[in-house]
Amino acid sequence: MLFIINDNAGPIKKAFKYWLCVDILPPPMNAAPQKRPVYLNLFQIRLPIGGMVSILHRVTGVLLVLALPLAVFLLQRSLESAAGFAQVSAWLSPWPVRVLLLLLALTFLQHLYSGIRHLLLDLDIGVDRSSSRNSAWLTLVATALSAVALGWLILA
Amino acid sequence: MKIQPQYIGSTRRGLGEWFAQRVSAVVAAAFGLYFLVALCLAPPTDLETWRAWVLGGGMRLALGLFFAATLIHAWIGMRSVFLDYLKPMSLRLVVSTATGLGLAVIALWVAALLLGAV
Amino acid sequence: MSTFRQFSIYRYDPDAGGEPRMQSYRLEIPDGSRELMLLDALGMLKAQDESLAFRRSCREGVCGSDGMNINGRNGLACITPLRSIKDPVTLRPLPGLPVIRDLIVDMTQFYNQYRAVKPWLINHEPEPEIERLQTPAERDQLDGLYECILCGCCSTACPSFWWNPDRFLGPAALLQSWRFLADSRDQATAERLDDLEDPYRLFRCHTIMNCSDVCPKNLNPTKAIGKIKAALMKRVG
Repeated sequence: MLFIINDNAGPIKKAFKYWLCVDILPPPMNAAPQKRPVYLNLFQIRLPIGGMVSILHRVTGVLLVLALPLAVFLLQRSLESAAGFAQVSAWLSPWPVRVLLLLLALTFLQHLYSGIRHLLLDLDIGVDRSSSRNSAWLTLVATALSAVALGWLILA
Repeated sequence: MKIQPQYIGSTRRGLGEWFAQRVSAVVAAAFGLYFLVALCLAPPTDLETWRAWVLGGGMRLALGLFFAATLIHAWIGMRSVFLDYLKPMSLRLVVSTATGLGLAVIALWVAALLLGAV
Repeated sequence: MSTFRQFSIYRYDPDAGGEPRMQSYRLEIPDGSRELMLLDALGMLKAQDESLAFRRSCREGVCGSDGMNINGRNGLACITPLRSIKDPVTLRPLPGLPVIRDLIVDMTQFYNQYRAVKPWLINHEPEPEIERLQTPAERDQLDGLYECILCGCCSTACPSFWWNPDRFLGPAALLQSWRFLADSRDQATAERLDDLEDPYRLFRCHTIMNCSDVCPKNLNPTKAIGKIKAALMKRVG
């Protein structure tokens, strides 16, 4: 295969290796044999609540990365000049935009809450079945409460 | 007798990335939360106070740290997503490169913003 | 008088060809029957339709043969009371592994990952006459680890294993990895840790915790994986 790179490769190949994470491609022993069906329908598999929150963490994370350039753009514009500041204020004042802002803030907060949960799990806190289910629910409750508080602040 | 790991490649990478992801998370979370709450409680009303707050010495440093942490966190996180879902190496190459370039542009942009606007 | 239960079961016959399909069954359960486990019901269904294929052996949660996806959740048919599951009882094979026939999956990838962690004691000293001794405290370290029956319910509930079954070891193999790392008689700690430290084998685990949520033996692979990560961190300093 094109991308299998051995250990004594040169710097360019090493860079590729880092970039693609292909350094540990296992031998084909573990490739699925024959053509067989695989059952993997995510709508039929019942994910535990922790699994759901974990997916949510991932989705919110990707959304936040996509929102990053927008945030930097607004920051730059607003700091540039009085006209820029006024322009950003005008952009952000209609209520549909405020709703979007609220959703963005909630995206950040959900990622933050589930992130704190993951950090605690990494510190071996709450790593058992019932605590982890409870903490997963707790992140959703916290986001819902934040929605109420922030909605009042941002939309009012 | 020493056991030879079969495909050791450039190991020692998993742990470093895992740890960096957590440290950057703490930095980004602390500042992000502070910034969000401050903005909500006291939205800036005019350019002067806004500039004074955001570009004040301590705040400028904090923003710099925040963006550094966020960009590292975003890079590791996005790569983790690609590693999980993108199987064809060509697709992974294109998407990884695009993400890397995108984040690098944001890094330069933020650096210019924080260092240039004296 | 008797009660009836509805079943919907994943059917796939490689010889007949075609796509897998769901087949409905109706099972009469005479009143006054003893408490039935799902495996008992499957046995009764097989009496109706002998083409129905599933694995089973010990029928008491020790051999780990009858792991399956029960109403969307992985479990062992033999220790799941029929009363505890709602109608229609929907049975599918363990997710993410190639289906050989009906509820029987090809566990090769799962076993390969198990083999990859070298699930045996590595000790370079000559064998003592009787046995390698451990203190009771050292022995306690293995509780919650050695009980794994390799049924595959955890690894096939793990999204990281679904996406990378060929490169991510999966919760079951990682639990066994820790079982030998935690063993006071094992002398290959450094090599075992070296072997785990790459972007896939261990670190595809994102602490989703589906594994601990479904384990029919109530073991906690996530906790074991956390201990491996802690051991790696400690080694760096």
